[in-house]
Amino acid sequence: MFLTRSEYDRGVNTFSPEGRLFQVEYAIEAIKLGSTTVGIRTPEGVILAVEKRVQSPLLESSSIEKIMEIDSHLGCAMSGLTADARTMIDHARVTAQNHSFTYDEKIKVESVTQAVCDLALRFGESVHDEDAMMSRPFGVALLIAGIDELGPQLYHTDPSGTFVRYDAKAIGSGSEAAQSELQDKWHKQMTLKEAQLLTLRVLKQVMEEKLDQHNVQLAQVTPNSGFEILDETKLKEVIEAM
Amino acid sequence: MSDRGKSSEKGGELVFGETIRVPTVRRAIHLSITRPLSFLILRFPLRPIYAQQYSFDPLSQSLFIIASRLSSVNLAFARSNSMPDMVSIAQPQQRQFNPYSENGGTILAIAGADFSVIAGDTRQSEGYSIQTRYAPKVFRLTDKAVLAVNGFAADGNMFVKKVRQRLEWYRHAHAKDMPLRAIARLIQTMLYARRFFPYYVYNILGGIEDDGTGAVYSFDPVGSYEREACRAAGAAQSLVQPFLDNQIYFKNQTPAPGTSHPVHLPLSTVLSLVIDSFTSATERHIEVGDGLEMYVVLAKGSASVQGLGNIRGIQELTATDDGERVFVIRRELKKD
Amino acid sequence: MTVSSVFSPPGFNFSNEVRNNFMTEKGLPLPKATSTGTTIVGCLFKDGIVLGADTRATEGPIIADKNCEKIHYITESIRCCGAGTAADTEFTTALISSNMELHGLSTGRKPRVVTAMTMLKQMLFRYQGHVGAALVLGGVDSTGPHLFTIHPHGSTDKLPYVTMGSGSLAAMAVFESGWQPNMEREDALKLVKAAISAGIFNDLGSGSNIDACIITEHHTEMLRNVEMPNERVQKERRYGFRRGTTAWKTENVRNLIVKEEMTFVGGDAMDTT
Repeated sequence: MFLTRSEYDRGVNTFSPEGRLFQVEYAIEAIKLGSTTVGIRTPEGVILAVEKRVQSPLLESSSIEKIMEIDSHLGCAMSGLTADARTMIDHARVTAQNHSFTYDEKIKVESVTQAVCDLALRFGESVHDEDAMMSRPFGVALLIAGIDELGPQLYHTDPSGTFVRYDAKAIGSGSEAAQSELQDKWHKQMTLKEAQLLTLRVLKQVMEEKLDQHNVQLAQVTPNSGFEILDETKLKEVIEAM
Repeated sequence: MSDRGKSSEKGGELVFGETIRVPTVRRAIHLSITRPLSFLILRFPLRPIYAQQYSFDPLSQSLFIIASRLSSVNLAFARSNSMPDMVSIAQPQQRQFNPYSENGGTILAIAGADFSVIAGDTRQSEGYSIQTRYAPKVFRLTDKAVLAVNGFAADGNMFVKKVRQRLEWYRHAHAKDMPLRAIARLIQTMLYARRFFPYYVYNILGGIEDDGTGAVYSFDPVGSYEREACRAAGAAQSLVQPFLDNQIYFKNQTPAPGTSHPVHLPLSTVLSLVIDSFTSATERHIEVGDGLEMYVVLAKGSASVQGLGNIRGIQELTATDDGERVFVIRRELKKD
Repeated sequence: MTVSSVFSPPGFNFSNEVRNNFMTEKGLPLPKATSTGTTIVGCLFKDGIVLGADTRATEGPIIADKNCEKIHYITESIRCCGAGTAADTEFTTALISSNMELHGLSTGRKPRVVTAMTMLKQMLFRYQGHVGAALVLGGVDSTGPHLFTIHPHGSTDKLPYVTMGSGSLAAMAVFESGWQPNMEREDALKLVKAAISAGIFNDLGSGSNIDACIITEHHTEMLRNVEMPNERVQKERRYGFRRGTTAWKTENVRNLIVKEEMTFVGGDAMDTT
């Protein structure tokens, strides 16, 4: 039988002769269709910001939820197939709760990221009587922000289960432009306020619509208040300061 | 069958609800036997019946192991006398397996401002016999945590083994040593996981917290725990704890006018109190003696290290260069 | 003289038996008697008997007395080591000692060891094991040296070397390997000390010091604390308390001197000349 290159993109657990897993790569591609999401780490805390695509004037923009809490010291922003992120965040939340139940301490940001990534490759065929849990890779990338004994941290995970720590990271459709802007503007001693403004400025540049408090969402993790999503009034203040 | 009253004299007596009481500070666990399967005898008077049942009742916190069978000796007796009427001699007999024993000894721990002392004697006994004169009850877990285990020695050793395994897993998963309070919580979850078939052990955990203070955590066999300044457990707990209450917490001692009692005692005083606790317990308790092992855990940069230099037979066990230091001091106790 | 209004029979009083059983049933157990956990031994040698005992008395796992005496006097040349319930061994041996003295007085002869043995076993058998005394009886009389063990139910043995108590196995191991007929006095004493030591160090019910008693035809030597292998350890600290350490709520000082006034009523003073 004639084997085209595309023959290898059918099975999720078949490598191509070049040693690639196409389904995983396509999943990473799917993220590039997602809305732009930006995260910045500063010594004072971590900022997460997402663009909410309000496709219809009848859509209630507050019902779009792209930043979620994992634990009081951990937050997460997503881009791609956001429904897939629910499974991952559920797992992250359970992992974090289990940790504090068993050890009476907050889980480290890296540990919870690792736990999420352990989930990412559990797709494919089941082994004898085990249940197959997933038929395809997740189509979502996450920015996990948090604070632990090592200070404020920002992690990026993708559908391959790889995770990397960043000082500033953009994912989603406008990520290329956004990432180069972040590279330009980010500096070591950035304040939280500066980071808030930078995320919004970056989003503004890549968004088609005019940025306002309804089509973006901003969240932060700080040593004192932990994870919090900024409400509309606070968000409006930041936008106005921009 | 015709005369059950007579036949019951021949068989072994039934023991109902024999209770093994496990002494605890905060909770009592009962292992008891339920009603025997007496109805079986009425139905099958001639045939030996082997019925064995293991049942589990979380509500009454009991583990039931019932094994009843008919005595073949009694059946043989009935046959040899060839008395066809005297048949229902057979009685159910209860078999019981008690997986626990109590191996004596005593442990104790005292927390200072920036150190912790955890000690235990080394005698292991059962009844009036000494199994060994050197069986450690105190174990270094990390450079900042030492665990003392007392009660049923087999359970204690296995428990320490499992805690150590969990500490290693934690190190691999989280790239750091488990903090003391996390170990304390872990021990609670491990103990409570065996709520209805407990590890018959009293644990005392001593060491240094992340904030650099000396700490002592004490546990009951099913996981209730508390951070304290001092705690004694084991055979001579009732002898040692009141002494510690008086000397550490200054209970029943009014301070001299215009003065107040110190909150923390210096290491040298604490070590003296520990040694005196054990020599006294050895004098008045038959299960305490042979040897004494005292572990000293010092916080990062603790000044108490100066006093340790000239102590006879001290040995350093520190494994990392994180700053905390662990020492062990061994002493002889009376051997009678 | 006042006479008790309640009939009080001689000997043991069982009037509280029913009440005590009831209380035990309701969960109030009887107070625990002091038991002499104990290693006691005796052995024959060329000129007589050597008896030995440890000196620990226990109440459960607690040491009640670190230096008690377990070799009891029966007569000048008969002694008895006791194991079991301390009160029973003390009372039983004291009672038999009295009766032996009376027996000696009424017969006008030195009472024999078998006599003491018979009196003891008859008493213990009468009480069906409820008098918890396990004894090693030894002595020398006109018929020679004799050594017995008497069990709480009244059975007896006559043997050249015996042990009893919780440390009996440890002590017997020493006798079995070391005893020989016609031993010298010093060798026999050494063997007894070794047997008691085995009990002291290997049996938790036995401890502290060694008592021994050497009985020969014309002389009895009681060696109290012949060896003290477990001297008390010096404490690290002194536990004295400042005057005023104990708090009080009220203070009340009373004069203990009682004043007495004497008044002579009538008549002349007694003539004391």
